[in-house]
Amino acid sequence: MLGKLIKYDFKALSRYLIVIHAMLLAVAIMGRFLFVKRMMQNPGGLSDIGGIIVAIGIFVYVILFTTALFGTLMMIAIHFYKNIYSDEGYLTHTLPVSKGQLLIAKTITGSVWMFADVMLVTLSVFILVLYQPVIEEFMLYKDELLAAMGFPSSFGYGKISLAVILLLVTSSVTNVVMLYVSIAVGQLFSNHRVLGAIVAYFSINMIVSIITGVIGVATGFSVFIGVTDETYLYQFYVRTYLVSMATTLITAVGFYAATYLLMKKKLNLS
Amino acid sequence: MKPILECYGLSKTYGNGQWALSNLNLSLERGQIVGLLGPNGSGKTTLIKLINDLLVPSEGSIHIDGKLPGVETKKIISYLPERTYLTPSWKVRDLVSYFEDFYEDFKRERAQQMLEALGISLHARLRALSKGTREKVQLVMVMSREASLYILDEPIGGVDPAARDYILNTILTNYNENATILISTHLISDIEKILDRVIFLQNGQAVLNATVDEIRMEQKKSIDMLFREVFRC
Repeated sequence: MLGKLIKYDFKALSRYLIVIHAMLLAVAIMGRFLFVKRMMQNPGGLSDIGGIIVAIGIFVYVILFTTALFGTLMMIAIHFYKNIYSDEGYLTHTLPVSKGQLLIAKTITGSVWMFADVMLVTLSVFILVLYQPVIEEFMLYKDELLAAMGFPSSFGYGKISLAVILLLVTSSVTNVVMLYVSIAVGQLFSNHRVLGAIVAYFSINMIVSIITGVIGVATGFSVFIGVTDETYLYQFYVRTYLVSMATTLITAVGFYAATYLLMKKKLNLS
Repeated sequence: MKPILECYGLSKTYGNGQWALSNLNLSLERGQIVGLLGPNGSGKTTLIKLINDLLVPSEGSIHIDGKLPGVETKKIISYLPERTYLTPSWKVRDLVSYFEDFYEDFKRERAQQMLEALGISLHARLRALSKGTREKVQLVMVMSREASLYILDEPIGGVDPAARDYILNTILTNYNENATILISTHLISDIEKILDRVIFLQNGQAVLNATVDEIRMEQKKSIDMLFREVFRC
């Protein structure tokens, strides 16, 4: 049953999101081959009309870029709200599945799209800017860059990428369940459910940012008190990373549990 | 066999100091069509939502086939809410597949036959159908299941009289003798002829629970007349 729920949730989410992200990548590919490549080969050789077209191209790309980022967030929230709390909920909640299965299916599908969104948006940037000369320059200075950032030379970009991707995965989950818990809290205001959800989202977001910010700064900068050798920057990264990993995981678990309880005990479809 | 539905001291408040249901005790046997009747705000929809696990009781408990509302009871209850729960972008055939995917007791052929009889195409998009037709689609889905308990909340409210006859006929021909149908409606005279039993709800309590034959014999009245008398404003 969980597999079937996931299948239908993916279908519902992917309807618009595939189109938006495909358009973003298409514009990035067009931009790369039509404009950026030419400008790289012949800087300053752009005509007036060419300049206008490039400006329009950049404009379209930026619009698609932000639409992809916010659209993904919005689609995940809207699908959850509609499927769980609007009239559709009358069918969703009378399927022979548990509330836990409903929530886990939506958390998995939402998180996958949230992560895919970040990856695809990043890919579109890479498509636009990663050229032979750019890559060559980077290769030339990559060790120096690593040292300047304070990483030991043995560390390597592979480990950094892996760490970043891991953090992106966990924060995708956290962002998704934060949307869900806000919507579930919004339902408690029976006359202003959507407004309640929006207020809940910004309040929860602010509280979480303040708390994790304070914890992050406190633990991160405590490095400078204890460590005196030149590895302090690296240790600062490690500690900040571990702390944000821990806070993201803890908030995710907390939000998930709260959403589950609100769905189970406080469901009241209008 | 256990009764299909039992309520013990069932009460529900929405936290505004008023009780939508208060201390309701009820037991329904299998194999009958039951009318759940009462004026607006008498607790009909609250009771139906409690049976379907869409609300949690404030006090008391509810048992369906001896079990508390949950995954197992949802397998045997086929529920038609008064709301339209269809996803507008779906086609009729998507909905058929959805029901087939989730309900083991769903009979695709039966659904297709009924849709055909009502002139509804499998390829029609739900958004493009009229309100009445959407209600028919929903009822077809619900009645295409081989359930033990059907709960129909205002099943004929939005459809024309000709379709009403077809729908009532559909209900009569599509349930097996061990199944129970609980129908909530205001259109009493239209459904009176198919009911075996009626429950009158008032202020969250059952004020009458009798078979239609008993009422006709003892009171010498139709259900419609009795309803107008009991609930006179």
